Amino acid sequence: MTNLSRRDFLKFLPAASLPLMKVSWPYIASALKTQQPDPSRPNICVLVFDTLSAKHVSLYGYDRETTPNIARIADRATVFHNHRAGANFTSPGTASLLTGTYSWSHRAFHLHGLVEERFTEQNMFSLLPDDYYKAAYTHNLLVMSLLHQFRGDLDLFKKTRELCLADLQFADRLFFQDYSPAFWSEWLFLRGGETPPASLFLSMVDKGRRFASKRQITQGYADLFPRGIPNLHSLFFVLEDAINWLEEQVKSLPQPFFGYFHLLPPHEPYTTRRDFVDIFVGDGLKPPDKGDHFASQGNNQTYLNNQRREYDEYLAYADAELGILFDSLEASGALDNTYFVLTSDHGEMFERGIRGHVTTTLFDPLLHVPLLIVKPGQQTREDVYTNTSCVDLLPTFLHLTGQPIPDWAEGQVLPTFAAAEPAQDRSIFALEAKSNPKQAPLHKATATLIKDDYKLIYYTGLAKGDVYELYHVADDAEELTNLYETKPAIAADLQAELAQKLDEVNEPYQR
Amino acid sequence: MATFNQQAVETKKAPAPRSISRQALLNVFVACAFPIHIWLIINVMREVPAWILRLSIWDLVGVISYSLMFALLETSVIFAGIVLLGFIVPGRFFRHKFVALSTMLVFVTSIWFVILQYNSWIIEFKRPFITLIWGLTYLIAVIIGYWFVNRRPKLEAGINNFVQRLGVLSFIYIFLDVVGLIIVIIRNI
Repeated sequence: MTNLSRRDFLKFLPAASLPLMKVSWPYIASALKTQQPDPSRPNICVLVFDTLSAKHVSLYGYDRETTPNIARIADRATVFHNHRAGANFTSPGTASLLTGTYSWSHRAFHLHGLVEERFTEQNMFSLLPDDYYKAAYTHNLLVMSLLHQFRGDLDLFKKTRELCLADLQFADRLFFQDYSPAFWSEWLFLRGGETPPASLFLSMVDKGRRFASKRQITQGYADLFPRGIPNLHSLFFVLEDAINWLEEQVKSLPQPFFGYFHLLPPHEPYTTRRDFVDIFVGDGLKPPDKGDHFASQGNNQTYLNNQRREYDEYLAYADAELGILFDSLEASGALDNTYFVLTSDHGEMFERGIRGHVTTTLFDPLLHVPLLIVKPGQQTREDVYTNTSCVDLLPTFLHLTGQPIPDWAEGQVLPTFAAAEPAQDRSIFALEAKSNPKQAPLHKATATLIKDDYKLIYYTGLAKGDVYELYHVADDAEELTNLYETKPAIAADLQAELAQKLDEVNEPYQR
Repeated sequence: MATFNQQAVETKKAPAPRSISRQALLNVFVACAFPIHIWLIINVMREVPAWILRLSIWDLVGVISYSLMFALLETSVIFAGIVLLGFIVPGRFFRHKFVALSTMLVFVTSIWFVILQYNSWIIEFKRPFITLIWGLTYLIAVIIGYWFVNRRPKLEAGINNFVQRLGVLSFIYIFLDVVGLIIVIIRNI
């Protein structure tokens, strides 16, 4: 064997380093790009707090000081005061946000619903420019199902369980390629729904395992979370873990990036941290007793008020963590070239005998959600009172990144972002259709139309026949007075417009 | 032709078998499959109307296929447990009437698990006394079942006949499980 001399080595070095450079150049280029933000290619960071009703946010006039940090962020943000979700629960609400279409188009209006096949190529992740690094994370398994549909366009798809203390699901571990049916089947087999689980023996073993795991985790965090560790289904998590990870990601993702981060609080169960337990006890807040609605779940007002307080205390905890995240991002300069968007997928209600959001109604506590956008370098607050919808986010982001807005998008660029102001009298819709077949016209649903200061709610498919409610949401924000009988002309106009819209969207499904 | 009693006496006197025949294993597998699949079918059928609302046919086929595959897994786990028991417990206590005793064990356990399914709080030890009662009654039922199978040759013969008759039905279930498994593989390729 001949010895390699120093001279030989130096001769060999350039030749050897060429392929190495070739392989590593994309990473070097990406790293260089990371350090040189391009203002024409801004980052977009969307932070969604699940089930965050604007009606409970002090910034929007709530009498409890639930969200001092949101108020602080608002001082340097564009605040949308009349922003509505597209539905009253996660699957359709998030699908509307991510596809820029209403539920009647994307059809993900069932629990764990999936969007129509065409939207796997027509969503925020696929439509934003290819050079954007696209990242997503969610605590919510309903959103996980949707993100799985969009995973082809995601550069970073952090799995739910990776930021959880325990996740006893196995569908995504074993059947990642076919996640949703595997997940539903796992649910059917081991957990059950209205009926017992379809597994006679293993479901009980699984239940015992989950119970033991929950007990262990709950005991470990009993001091910090006296009402129980934050959880949903079989997921147990600590919000701080997700916030820390998010902080790290936003600071280090390759630029430009689009990040969609969907955190579960203040979704029930309302398991706030110790320092927020009972902070609103005896504060004298007395929500108006609106009586029972026909969709009432039979909850009395005292129970609802207690639940409202626990929700508010959980929200205060989420707000505190948001404040920490925002301050850290701002201090690090990570927001210098980033649009920071704070919103929610739907709200929550504690009135009319209804608790939560599993309901057929579409009252404003369920639809009215916060929307704050901090533009890069923004130092003053802007207030927008025009009616806006979650379907407007997709066109807005496309506009910000210089992409064309597709004609199937049902929203429009948000005010203050577009060159031309949007029409003040535009129509905003929302839909609830959990009991309606996916591939059938909407005959068992609740639809709402918000236009100018009025809101029409239309319930169809009820045993007692169709029901309409009309509210003047500008003067009657609590939706106390149904004007359907006393304002027949306005009701008729809105009714005709909604009927026309429903006919139009039902047309492809008529047999 | 030997009567049930004669058969029982012969069985009683016969030395404990050192192994379990293939036919006996097959019969026990069938016995394990039956309650698991009946429970599965009842509960899947109750959920199907809700699934039809939201799923495409292919996804519905997928959900049912996964469920069938899981049922095959569950059957195999229970079967493996019984076979393990058959080898752990001395032959004269279990292997001598392997099919009848295993079937009795599977069916008694199934009944007690059905009770558990509708009262699942029992396993959470929220009321330990009730959990204890559930466990004790289960043990007593198994002991009584064991005693009856050992002492009543007619019962043993009846169980053996029953298992043989279950065969066709259970093989249909197992066939569907295998189809489900194939569909799952196709979906994940």
